Amino acid sequence: MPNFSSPSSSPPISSPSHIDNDERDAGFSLDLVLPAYRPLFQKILDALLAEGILGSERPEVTRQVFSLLKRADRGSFDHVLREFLAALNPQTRWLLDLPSIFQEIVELGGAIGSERLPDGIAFFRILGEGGFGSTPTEVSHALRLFRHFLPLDRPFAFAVLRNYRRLLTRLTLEEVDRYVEEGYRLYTAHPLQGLNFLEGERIASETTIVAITQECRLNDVTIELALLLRALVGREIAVMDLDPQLPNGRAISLGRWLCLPHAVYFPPRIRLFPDREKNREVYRLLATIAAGMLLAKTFSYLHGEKGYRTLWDLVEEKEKNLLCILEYVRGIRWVSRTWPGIVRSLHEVLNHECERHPPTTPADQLLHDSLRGSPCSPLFLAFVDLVDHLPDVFAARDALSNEVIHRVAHAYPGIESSPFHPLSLLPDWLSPVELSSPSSSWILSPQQRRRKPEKKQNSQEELRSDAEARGRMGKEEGSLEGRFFYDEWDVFEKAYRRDYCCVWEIRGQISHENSASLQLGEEVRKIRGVFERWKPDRPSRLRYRAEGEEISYDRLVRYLVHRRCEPLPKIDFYDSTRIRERDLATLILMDMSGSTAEKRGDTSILEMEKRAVLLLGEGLEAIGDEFSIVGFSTDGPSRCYYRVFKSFPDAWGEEVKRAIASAQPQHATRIGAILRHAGYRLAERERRRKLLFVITDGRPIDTGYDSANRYAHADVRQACVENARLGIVTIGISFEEKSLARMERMFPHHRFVCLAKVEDLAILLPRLYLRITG
Amino acid sequence: MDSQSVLDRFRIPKAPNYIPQGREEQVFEAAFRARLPLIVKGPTGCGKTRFLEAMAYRLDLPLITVSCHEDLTAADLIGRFLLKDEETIWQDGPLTLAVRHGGICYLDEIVEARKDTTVVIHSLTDDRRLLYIDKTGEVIRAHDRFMMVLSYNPGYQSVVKDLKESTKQRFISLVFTHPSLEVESEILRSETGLDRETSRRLAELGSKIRELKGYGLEEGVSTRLLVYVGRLMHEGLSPREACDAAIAQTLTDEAEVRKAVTDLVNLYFG
Repeated sequence: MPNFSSPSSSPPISSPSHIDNDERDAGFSLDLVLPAYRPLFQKILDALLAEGILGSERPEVTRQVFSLLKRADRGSFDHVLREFLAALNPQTRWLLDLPSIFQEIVELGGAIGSERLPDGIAFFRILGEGGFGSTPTEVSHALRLFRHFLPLDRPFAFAVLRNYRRLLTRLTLEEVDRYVEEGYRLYTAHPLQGLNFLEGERIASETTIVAITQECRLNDVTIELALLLRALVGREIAVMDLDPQLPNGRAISLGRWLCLPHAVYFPPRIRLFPDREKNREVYRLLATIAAGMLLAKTFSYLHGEKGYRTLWDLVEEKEKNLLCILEYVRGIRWVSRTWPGIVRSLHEVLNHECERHPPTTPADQLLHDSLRGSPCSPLFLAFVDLVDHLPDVFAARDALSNEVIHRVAHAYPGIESSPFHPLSLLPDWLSPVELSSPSSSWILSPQQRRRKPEKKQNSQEELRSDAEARGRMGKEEGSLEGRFFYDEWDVFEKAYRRDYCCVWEIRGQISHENSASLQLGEEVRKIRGVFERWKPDRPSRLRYRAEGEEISYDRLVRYLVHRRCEPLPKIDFYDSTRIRERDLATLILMDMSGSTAEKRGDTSILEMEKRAVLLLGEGLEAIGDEFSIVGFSTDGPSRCYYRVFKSFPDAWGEEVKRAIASAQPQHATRIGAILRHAGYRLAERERRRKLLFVITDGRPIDTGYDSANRYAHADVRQACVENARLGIVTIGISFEEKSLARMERMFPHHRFVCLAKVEDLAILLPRLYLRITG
Repeated sequence: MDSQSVLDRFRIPKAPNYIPQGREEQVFEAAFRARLPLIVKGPTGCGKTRFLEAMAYRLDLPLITVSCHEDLTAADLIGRFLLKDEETIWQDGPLTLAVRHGGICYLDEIVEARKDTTVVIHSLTDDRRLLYIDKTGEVIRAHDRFMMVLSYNPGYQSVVKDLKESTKQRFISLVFTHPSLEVESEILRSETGLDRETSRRLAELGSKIRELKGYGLEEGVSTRLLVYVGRLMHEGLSPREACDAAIAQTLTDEAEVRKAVTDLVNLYFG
């Protein structure tokens, strides 16, 4: 008999007798429910059990339902539960076939109801009305959006949920995100307007929906455009969002864009056509034009360099318009010739632009005529022929004195002095731009780094004794596992300094830092996916095979005996060895020295390192390689801190991630001793291949090093050689682009990588790992 | 079938279409005459195997190719006992076949093989030119017309899969790269029957796609894939369809990179 029946007030609920009631009911009894609700609860549960929605066919979902019902308290929470049961109507019952989503709904709704009853009721009411969407993806997306906004603003989160289904009728999931994002922007300024916007009651909401469904945003195509530019130009060209306020304070209209030698500034969104794909094509067209302008050495090739702030810096007043037109025509014709596939799109946009902005001055007219290929007069043909043979912008300037150009100018009277309005598909050469000199930070940073060890000398004085230091570390920074003494190579003396360095192996750091603060959600899934594809099968020795490289003689004898008894016995006397194991141990050393506190943008280098290591850790866990993660910093040779966030036997889990996330920059960098200790730890592993990754800025700076760092470089190199003798491959990864020479000195056999941007570390580290070990 | 007739099957029946990129043919011939083993390095699909076929044909040698993989064992190279009727008989492996009767033994993608497998070639690749078969106790002195050739792709070079120094330093090396624009255009034209202009455009497309190496592409597009494009076009597919099937879909599964490749294709054949 189900134990949720109330013997005094309600008849027992009929349910299939084969259901394991104890497990299913999870302690729920109708006695727990308000008397007024009991018949209703019973009716709904009866129906659900009778229809097989709940019961033995769906044990997991049944448990979830009853575990929520168990929270009935003969009071207010029953209102939430009533709404919950009502929500399990035919419109939403399909969700019960998806235990994980259903569980999320139950848990979230239950938690919200516990915090605030009306919210719990509203949550399940929206669910019952089908407001979460009609597919698993839509429901998951709704829950994600709701979870995202709940901590930010509860009323807004509920407004999103209430309007979610309505938005889905007009927008894709991605577009819903954008719409809600816009709504939240409005909401933070004017809460009522924001809510009205979500309800669709403002004109702006319709305008936004039209814009979202039609426009193409630069953010959505940045990577695509960067790759296209990279491929076409053959070097890296940054794709940037054109800020209306450039650093020099001059405003640039959003319809224009800039093409500079190393970066292209595009408008943040394009809505030229009422079709997103066509607007995307416009971005591609602009990128192709940019590549052509750079390769054809038009003014874009110089724009912003010293002395070339605008195209007009090249010529006198009366020649400005002509040179500009000449260069535009030259660039566009070069693009059309080189990449014929772009011509159709080019003409489409060109025609569109010409219709929107018909030429109003002689200068505009010449540009339009030249780009659209009319008129086909001999003079015009001579003009384009001349243009096609100009190799660069300087040749174009010199050509202004050419007879043909004079005749063309004569055919468009007033061209020199008329206003000129270039088309918006052409890069803006008229806005003044000054490219900055190389950042001064690279000049300052070595000095800053040199100062750091000196600063730490105060701390050293404070830590007068090992005991004090041990106490300090035990209290604040983790527990000391042991101290290890290592020799250090003195390149000047060509001898080791015996037991010169002391490595303090410290077990992690105690912290409540949350690894989720690094926000790796989607990336983790991707990384795990990639690494899992590399996961090998288990190692195997295949015995008793029909073919193989070894004969098992016992089996062979048996086979021969059998052959005398039966005509075709099974051949099974070959053995074969198949080794498919990734027999590999990897140790990752993460530089935590003071210099990693330097910010790149809003994020410190150490934060980027942590992010990269966390991602790599996810990947390594997925692929099944044995690995350890260690942070290091040093405070003179006597205190080289080797902080173990994850030792080889440790499981990869939240504790390890928290330990990594809590790493703080401190002290200096003495890599040699740390490498030796890491080598010692790796050598203990019984693996055929052993890899040691060192992520560093490539600047070993610590007490006692000479100014040129020859001593330090030589010691690191020597440590690598020592590790190699133990069968350990040491690979340096520098996040300083200019550290090539130093890395070359430190890491033998060119086993190092210098990243152009530390921001790329999180992407490149896992990729590099797979490349090296694949 | 006797060994000699097995070996004859490895001869190249007709002259392969090979367009030299430099003086690689002369280097190969010199190495063969001097009985020196050779490593050919280069990216995938750049013509290493075709070059060896061309040289085997030119020198009238059988070309025995072994595609290496991590399960390849020494027995797979040297040979093994098989049971025939009431007795076990010795069956020469590809290496032994070439050593005994003469020919090029070509170990393709040698770094894929385990190091304990590759050491069996050591005694063949120095002055001794001997092969010791422990299972039969036989010592075979290499035929005068035996040559050992290894290949690997430095693009895939991985620390854990690199050749041992002791193996590497027994060989002379020939490095192949993707052909120049002119040579590649000519290869495409001669391999596919495309006209000169289309072949040129296809080769240019290839060179642009190669710029994406390291930016989402592990390897640039190979000449082999460009040839496939040409053949598909020859069979009536539109250039965009052919490029999509043979290049964009083959090179990457990452949507953004595939989009970039498709954009490039559209620029040349849109």
